[in-house]
Amino acid sequence: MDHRLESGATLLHQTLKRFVRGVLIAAFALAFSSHAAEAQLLQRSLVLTDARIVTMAGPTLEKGSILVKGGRISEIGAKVDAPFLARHLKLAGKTVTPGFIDAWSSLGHTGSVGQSGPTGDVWDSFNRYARDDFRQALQQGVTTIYLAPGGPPGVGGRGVVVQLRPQSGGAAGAVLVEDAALSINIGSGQSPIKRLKTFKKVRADFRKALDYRQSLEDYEEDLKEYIEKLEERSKKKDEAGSDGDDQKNGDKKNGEKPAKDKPSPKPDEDKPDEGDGDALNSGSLWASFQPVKSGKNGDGGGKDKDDGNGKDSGDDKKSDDKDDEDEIKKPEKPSPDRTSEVLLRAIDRELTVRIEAHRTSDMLNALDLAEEFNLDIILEGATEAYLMADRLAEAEVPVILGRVTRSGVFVNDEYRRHSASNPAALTKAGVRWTVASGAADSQAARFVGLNAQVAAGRAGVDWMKTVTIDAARILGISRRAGRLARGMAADFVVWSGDPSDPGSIVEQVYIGGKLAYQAKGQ
Amino acid sequence: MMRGHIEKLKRPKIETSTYRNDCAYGLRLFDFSIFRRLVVVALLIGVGIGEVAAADTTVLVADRYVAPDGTIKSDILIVVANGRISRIVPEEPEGVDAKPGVVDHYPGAVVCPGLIDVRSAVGAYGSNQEEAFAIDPGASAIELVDRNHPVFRAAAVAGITSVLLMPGDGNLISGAAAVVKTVVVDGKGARRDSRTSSSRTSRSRSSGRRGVPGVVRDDGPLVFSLGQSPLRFDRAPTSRGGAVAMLRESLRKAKDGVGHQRLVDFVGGRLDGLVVCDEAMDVDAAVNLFGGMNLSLTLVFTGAASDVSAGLSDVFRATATGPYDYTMSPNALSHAAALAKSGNLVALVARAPGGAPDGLRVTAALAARYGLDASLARSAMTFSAARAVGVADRIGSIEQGKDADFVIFSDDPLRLDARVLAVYVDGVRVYSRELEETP
Amino acid sequence: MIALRNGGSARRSICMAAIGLSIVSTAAWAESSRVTVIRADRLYLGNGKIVSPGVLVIRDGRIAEIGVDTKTPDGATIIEIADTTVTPGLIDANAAVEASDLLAPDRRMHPRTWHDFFTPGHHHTATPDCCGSTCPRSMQHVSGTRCMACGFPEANTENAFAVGTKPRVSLAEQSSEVIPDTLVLDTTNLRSPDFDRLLRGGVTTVFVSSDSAAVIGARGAIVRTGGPVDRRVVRAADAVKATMGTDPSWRGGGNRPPVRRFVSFRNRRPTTRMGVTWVFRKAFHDTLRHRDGVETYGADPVSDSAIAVLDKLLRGRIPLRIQARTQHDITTALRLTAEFGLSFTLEEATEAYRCIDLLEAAEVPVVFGPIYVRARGDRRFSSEVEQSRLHTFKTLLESDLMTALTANELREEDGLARQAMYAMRFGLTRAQVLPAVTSVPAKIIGVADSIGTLEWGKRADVVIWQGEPFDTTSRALVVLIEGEIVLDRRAG
Repeated sequence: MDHRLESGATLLHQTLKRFVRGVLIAAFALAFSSHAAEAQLLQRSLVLTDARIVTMAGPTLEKGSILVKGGRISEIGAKVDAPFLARHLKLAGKTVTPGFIDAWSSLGHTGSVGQSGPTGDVWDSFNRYARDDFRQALQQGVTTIYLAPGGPPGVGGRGVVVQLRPQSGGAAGAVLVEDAALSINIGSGQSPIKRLKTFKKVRADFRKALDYRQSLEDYEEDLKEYIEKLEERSKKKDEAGSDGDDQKNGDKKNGEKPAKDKPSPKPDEDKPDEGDGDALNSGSLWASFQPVKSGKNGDGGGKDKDDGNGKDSGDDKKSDDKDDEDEIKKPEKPSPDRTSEVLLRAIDRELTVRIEAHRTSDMLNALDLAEEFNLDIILEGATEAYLMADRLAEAEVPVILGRVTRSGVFVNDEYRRHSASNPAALTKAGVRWTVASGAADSQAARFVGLNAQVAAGRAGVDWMKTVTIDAARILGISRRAGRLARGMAADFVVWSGDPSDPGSIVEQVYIGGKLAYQAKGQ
Repeated sequence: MMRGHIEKLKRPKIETSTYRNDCAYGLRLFDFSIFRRLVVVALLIGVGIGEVAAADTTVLVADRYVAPDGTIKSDILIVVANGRISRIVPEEPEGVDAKPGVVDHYPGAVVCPGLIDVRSAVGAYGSNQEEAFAIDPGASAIELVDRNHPVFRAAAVAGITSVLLMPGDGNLISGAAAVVKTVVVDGKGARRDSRTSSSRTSRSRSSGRRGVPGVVRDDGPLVFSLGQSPLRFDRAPTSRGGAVAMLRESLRKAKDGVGHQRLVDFVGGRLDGLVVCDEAMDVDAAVNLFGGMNLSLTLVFTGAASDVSAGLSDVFRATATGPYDYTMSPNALSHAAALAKSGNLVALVARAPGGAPDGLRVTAALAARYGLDASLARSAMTFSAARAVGVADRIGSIEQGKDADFVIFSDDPLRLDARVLAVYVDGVRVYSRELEETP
Repeated sequence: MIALRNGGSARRSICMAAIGLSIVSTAAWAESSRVTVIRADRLYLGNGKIVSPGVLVIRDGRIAEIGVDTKTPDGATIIEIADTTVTPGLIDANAAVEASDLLAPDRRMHPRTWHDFFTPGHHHTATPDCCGSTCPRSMQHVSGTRCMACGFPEANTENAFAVGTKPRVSLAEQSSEVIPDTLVLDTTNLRSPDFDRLLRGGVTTVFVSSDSAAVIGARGAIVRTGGPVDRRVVRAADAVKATMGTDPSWRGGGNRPPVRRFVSFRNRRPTTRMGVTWVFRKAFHDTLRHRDGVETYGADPVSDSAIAVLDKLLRGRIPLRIQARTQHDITTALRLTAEFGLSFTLEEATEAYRCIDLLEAAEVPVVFGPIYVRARGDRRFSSEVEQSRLHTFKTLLESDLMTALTANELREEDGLARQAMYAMRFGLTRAQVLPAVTSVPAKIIGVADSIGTLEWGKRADVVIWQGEPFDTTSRALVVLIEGEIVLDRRAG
């Protein structure tokens, strides 16, 4: 851009300088404009060449190229057209894979949000500055996690899908999917009675949610009725205004009210019970608190209607009016129940429900719960799933497994019947499954790939598929993560060799086309 | 290997994938001409295999194997006789025609020596901790072995064919450890596959020639412990200072011939030792204690400080570290690599049964990911481990004369998706993945 | 060795080899000559001389030149900071090194029961009794809880072994009261952060001494506080420490009669001062008997390895230190050592001001410290500190005795430099105090030929202080051990 001209052509030089300046200003303006798309357009495209690309959307490209534009994969194939000014990455001998997804993780989680129930959102307890943890996860190829809320047994909080994208200020972590799922834990190693109580409470919470909806609907109806009644009454009033009786009554009412006020002792005389003004005046508490009986008044009123006993009639009228108003009572809106609102979203299948259950009895309960309330569920843990794989296949419930092999001796009660044949049985029955780190330890998120190798080796499937596209499909983010294809987000990992080789390491990680991690010495 | 060869001859491809689905035993007769067969037999006789094709011979053929240095090499044919490796033929013979024997062929698989767990409590009946005295060289861990313990089977199925059973680390000198096989194979009630053919049972093998079946070594190494565990409040020693002083005194007395025979042998270099340390300062104390005595010692150190690795190889013949799991920090996971870089022989520990049965391979995979050379990681599970406990003459690598303990993996054992296809102990296949439903 | 084949060519080859070797060695020597030059406003050499302003040249870890206008050789590292003073590295002759990081952090590393796998938190494998009684439950304590048997707040938290916080806990071997065969070095964690704290206070060499739980305790070690770990130990086994007074009775769990049916080695002497004297004399008597070939008998037997060390002690080959606070205990120490012809160094010496003349007559070196108004740490629980005085150190320094100052378990802002400041506050000058923390402790512990003063040929353990050392506004900016910078706080 900066052309230096001969000293002779000064005019041309000046014009050009001005032109160049203008262009530069325009470019800077565009670059710093807040519109994200324009800014992304100005991001230099990235071209990767000569790499072995595991796409998870078709066959593996032995020597392939990817063009990344604007944070997305714009082209992928054996050869791509590199635009001008694109950054080139020559990756001969290296392998590119999609970023791994840990579908059940607690990376960066500082505490349990589940204690606040479904209204808790786990994003609130996510520590965006846990840099070391994120760096270690990226170092093993993990780019996206589902952050599980954790919590006590019962209905827990809502989880989010987090992408380990570096942010400003040293933070990391961007929400990919908010309100990804509601977490329910009915498999936490409690005593049998507690387990029953927990499940009972879960069902009760859901039923309460349905009752809440019902009460809202009732309230709506009542409100409609109330409005109608009010309209009727006002109509009636208008009609009564044109009627003479009503007017008289109205006049009487209007006229006699002040007259009524004067002879105040009179009602005392009409009081049947004591009839003794002295008794009243003597201050007997009992007498003074005696209620005015409308019935008697009514009778009295009826007798003396046309007399000056306006009060009675007035009272009568008043009480009639009062009765009318009592009939049209405004319905009370049920107080907002945020918990039930969340559960209703689950019932409406707007919110996925993830149920952690290990024993067959708990898993069967989970299936019943899903059937009863028409929930869209995913099973977490599912240690004994191999014993009921067919039922799970029938119910079309996907499963997220944690640690596949466990010690045979010192086990938690929930894992007592664990078996390494779990993945194989699930594959055979046709259940969709993936392997994750399990939310017990936040550090285990790093090695979700190794855990997947163990599981997939048992099942005879490709381990990388398990932690990329399978996990993405189960989490419902397969349009945004999990594979490398045109239009997908540019989340990929560059390995020094085949990721299955024990010695290969992660060299670079890109999230959204931006470098998120680079191994030291690169 | 067969496939490649057949292609070379432009013969119709024999479907090797159905091999294993057919009967597990039996001959593989290929579609060779008679002439070639004669050539093959001549070759075999020439190589000397024919002479050992006796009744109790097995021939194992595989595409790849783990060599004693830990690298994966291709094409191997192993002849097993009387429970030992009698011959290894690394080149590819043209065909195998050992009529009387049994040929097991594993296409695409890797034959690995049986894995060895250097510090385990597998199979101990009851407690392995004799607590009354701090110095108790007379205890023997071999007395604790419970052959019916289900953990033995779980370990065998995961590929661990031998374990070092140690007395607990709660004494300064705990006694003699023992190296036992996870499966006992003998002429009579051998543990084997559920669908055993009768030919095996009738085979007469004298496995008693080496002593008790299933025992590789029962007299050691002598186990020492330094650290917090031997300290007690109700008996000496109560402090590390006292512990080291007691040990020093015992060693001095043993040099003069006073003390338990095992200690005297140890100090005289006739018995090897194993030192268990908690922390870096315990390693320093061990180096101070044993340095210069020129003894055969192994260090078992699971602590972190990587600055202890310098100078260890002068005192210790091997250092065992591990187990590693997914929750440990990168610093801890790179400890094996740091030890190897400082010139120590590294062995890996699974500490079964506290961890999952595949814990040894997970430890090796994690160590490899954090800098330990892949071949060193493989030998850390096999040959280095055998050398660490003084049984390298009998197990730990595929070499002539050693026990026929193999694990057949579907791929490199450091790849965690590699499955155990079969396990052989003393030449007998004791586990086969296809023949057993649940692992 | 060169194999000699025949005479002529052998001679030639030897000559060639010699020439080659000399070339190589000089080249190596030239390359490896590391030179550091320090320029400061004042150099306090530790032997009374002051050079102001001064230049200190260190070559290969040793002091090469001290001068005013020394030429700076090429390739030298220059350290020049305004308004600083250079002194020899401080030496603490009676340091108690913290051992809080000796506890195994989690018993799950060494599980012994099923329970260990599941119970979170911190279990204790080697637990001295928490409440003074033999508590069989103390092995099952979890941190933060009380003893299940006796309710005492449990003694072993992560800081429990920090010297000065829990008096009953002791790092010394408890199984006997006579343990000179053990070494403090075996209990010391050379990677402990306590050494870094010492370094930040300007202390470069310490004599790590045993604690006072045993009558005749472990042998101390001389250790550098910085530099590579494998080069830190100067002397692994040095003086044996004996203790007079009440400390051996109650420290480290306490000796007591048997409780119900629990009989342990704690049922032994001493529980009084009479017992302390008994144990001390019995040990030496047994040694003498052993020397004479007579069988030893009687209560409180001493192990053979201990007798071996005590024998050397009697012959004067190993130095002896005795901790005594009260005047009574000091006189007891003098009496007992006179009986066996031992010479010793006195530690603590809280009430020395009362018996200065006796000490002078016996020519006993004294390691005094710390100076305090209110005793802290283990001393707080002792009844022996009630008669301490702030002028004691001055009295000792002004007498004929070789006196060194120590900070014992105090660190950094309370450490040795601060102790020197207090000494100056209560009647001494800097010129009097500086040797008490540099050259005199070096002489007492026997390393005066290599450290303690800044003189040609000595090891370059140097501290650069901001301003004048031991002032309230002064702190150690740069510390060098053997010419290598181990602490650099110039940046702040």
